[in-house]
Amino acid sequence: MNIKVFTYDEAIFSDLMEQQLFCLQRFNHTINFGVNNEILLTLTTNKNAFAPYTIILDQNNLSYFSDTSLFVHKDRRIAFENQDNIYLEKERGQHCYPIVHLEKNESVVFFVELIESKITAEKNDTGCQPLEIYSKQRIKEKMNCFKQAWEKEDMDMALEQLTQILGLGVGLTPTGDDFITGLFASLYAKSAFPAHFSQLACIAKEKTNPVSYAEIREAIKGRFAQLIQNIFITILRGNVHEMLIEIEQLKALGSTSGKDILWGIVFGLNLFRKEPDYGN
Amino acid sequence: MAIKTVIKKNTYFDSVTLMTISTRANELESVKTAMIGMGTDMNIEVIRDVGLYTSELDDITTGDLMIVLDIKEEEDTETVLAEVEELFTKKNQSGTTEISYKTLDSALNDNQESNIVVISVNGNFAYREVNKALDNDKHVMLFSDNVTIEEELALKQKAHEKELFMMGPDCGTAIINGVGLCFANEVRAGDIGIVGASGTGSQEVSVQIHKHGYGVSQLIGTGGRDLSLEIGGIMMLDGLDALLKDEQTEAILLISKPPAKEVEEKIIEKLKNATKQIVIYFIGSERAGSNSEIANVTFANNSLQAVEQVIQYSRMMPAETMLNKNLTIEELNHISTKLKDSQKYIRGLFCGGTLCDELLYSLMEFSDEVYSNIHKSKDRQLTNPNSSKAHTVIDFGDDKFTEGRPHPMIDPTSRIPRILQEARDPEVAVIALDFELGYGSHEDPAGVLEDVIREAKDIAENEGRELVIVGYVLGTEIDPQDVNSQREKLENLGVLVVDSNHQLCEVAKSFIKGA
Repeated sequence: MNIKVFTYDEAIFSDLMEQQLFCLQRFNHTINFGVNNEILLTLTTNKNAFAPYTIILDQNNLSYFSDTSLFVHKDRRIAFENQDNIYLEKERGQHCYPIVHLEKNESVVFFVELIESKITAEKNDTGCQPLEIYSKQRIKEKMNCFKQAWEKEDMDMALEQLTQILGLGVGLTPTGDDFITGLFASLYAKSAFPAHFSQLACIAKEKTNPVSYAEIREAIKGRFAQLIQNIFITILRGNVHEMLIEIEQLKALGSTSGKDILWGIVFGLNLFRKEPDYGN
Repeated sequence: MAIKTVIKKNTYFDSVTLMTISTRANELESVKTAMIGMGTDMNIEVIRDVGLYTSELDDITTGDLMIVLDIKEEEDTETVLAEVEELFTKKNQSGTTEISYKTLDSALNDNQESNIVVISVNGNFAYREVNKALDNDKHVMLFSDNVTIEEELALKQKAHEKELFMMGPDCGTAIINGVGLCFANEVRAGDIGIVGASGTGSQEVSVQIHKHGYGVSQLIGTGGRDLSLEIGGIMMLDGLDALLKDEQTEAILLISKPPAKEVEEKIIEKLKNATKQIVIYFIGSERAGSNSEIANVTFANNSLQAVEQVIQYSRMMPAETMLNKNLTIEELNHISTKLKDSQKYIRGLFCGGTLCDELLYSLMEFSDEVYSNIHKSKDRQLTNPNSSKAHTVIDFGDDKFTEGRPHPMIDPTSRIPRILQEARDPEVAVIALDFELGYGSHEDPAGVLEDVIREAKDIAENEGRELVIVGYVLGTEIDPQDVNSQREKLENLGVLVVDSNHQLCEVAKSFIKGA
């Protein structure tokens, strides 16, 4: 079968060259490959899912895919045992660019208020998920402590709070992990990511599942899915209509993942809301 | 009570599947609580804290899926485990089939057997995309607006020549072979076909048909301009033809915003040879409510009457009605006595354009002083739609209000400042509001306005006035939102909640002095 590539992350060639990767998880539209239970490359058919180390295929689904391993060749070829090779043409590649820097507070304040008003309007969306309710309550408690630690610049204490929500909650990527991803995106956008938080990568490897760990590992490096990047681009542009579209796109990610990431983004941006510099 | 733990080793389900299974497991009658999540330390801690920890969790790893069930009666344990297992099995078999495409070409390429394309793109690109779909012999539902009348005519002519539907532009709703598209409500399947040149008007009649215990075979949208002189009703005539041939359809309801007289005549002419019973509700038409010169055609005077007439021709056994009690004249008179003499005007703030039109024409029966942003008569169009005068009805879905922001059925917050503005006006007696449920609409439209309704009532009360707020929740008990809880929210705020848009018009009118 001739497999067409829609787009892919260029970092695959700088970081995964000449490696054999094995199938770790398989879903209808996504297959994760890696080694030693660590996800290093994702094949997906979801056109909106551009993210670190991801190849997006122009296919309906991946149910036909039977291979249990792949090899990344240096001639831009991904080789499988039973499938045709995939050629990653240079013009189809793109980079996971760093989160745009938000220098001014004006649209940040507006964005946060926009989201908070939407969240208030949608407050009953947890339905009857007991684990979701318990975990969100716990995340709120821990993040109150995080905020206090952040204000006191006590990064040990702040890191400890993040550790306490790793792997917490429902979903394949638990609520706490998605929240952290969103929070880290905001910290990068404000150029305020503490190097100290990089320790969370090792902790996450133990405390959460491989799918979620891969997301946090990349977030620590400042590499995020395009859907997250787009949120910050629209904040920078300050266009409400675009913001609403991108918010809805992100919210549609997974079951609650998008909403939880958004929660983390808003929490993170709120850390910098003290002194809005309107128009400056 | 029994606690049962199931571990699925190294098992990964996508989040949507996990959440769906978790929701369904918690809804099982014998289950008090179901905790379903990945086996991480923190989730285990939560399980421990709520007293559901069992020894099976001792060896769990982060890649394992845990299902912890608090079962009401121990003897139900085996049944519950089987039911939960079935949820996982079913999910594994079905999977999800929703796919996102970046271009129409790739979507068409991958779905050659599909025969209808729903297009919602910036209006500037809509013409090109619709052409592409028609060239591929696909029917089109065009949700986009801002398409020129010349483009609409060209597209509809092309579709007509190819015997395809071109529903739109600005086509808000359709139900084709039981599948609701865009802003559709969940209604019972039946034998009444609808062709609508009005989005919320079509929603309203489909919902009322359902509430009266009957069902809809097809709901074909045409776009609001279809019955204009320029377009000539191309799509309504094609839709009518299709329903006349459709074996599932026994009776037909045609609904439209105010049509061009010449087009109305063309449609009536066509109906002379129709073989099925047809009820027409054209808002603002001279024929509305009149006796028909054609045997099988009836002209209704309002949306509710149109439904009451068309269901008489249905051959299906009606289901139980889902109608709610309306306010009595005595109750309305009693409320009316609380109003001051200065309070004489109605202000209708609508998300639904046709619902707005219906109140507009209804008020015009009693007063010349009715203004709107969508009034047909130029001298009654508001020069500044942000400011009311005399009786005013506003369609917040009109282009002027939706530029750069979502339609108010998606984001109903655009009405908030206006509600407060009207509440401060000492001449206002009644504020009329609509709340649309169904696919695509906001998940809690009444909840969004709870605070502002409370504040509006407080403003009037602090100034020694009674402010009447009339609300209509357009939806069915099987819509994704809960129609009863939406009604209850409004009732708890003192809103007079009515059961149809026609009744909203009647209640609003009853507060006009001398009406």
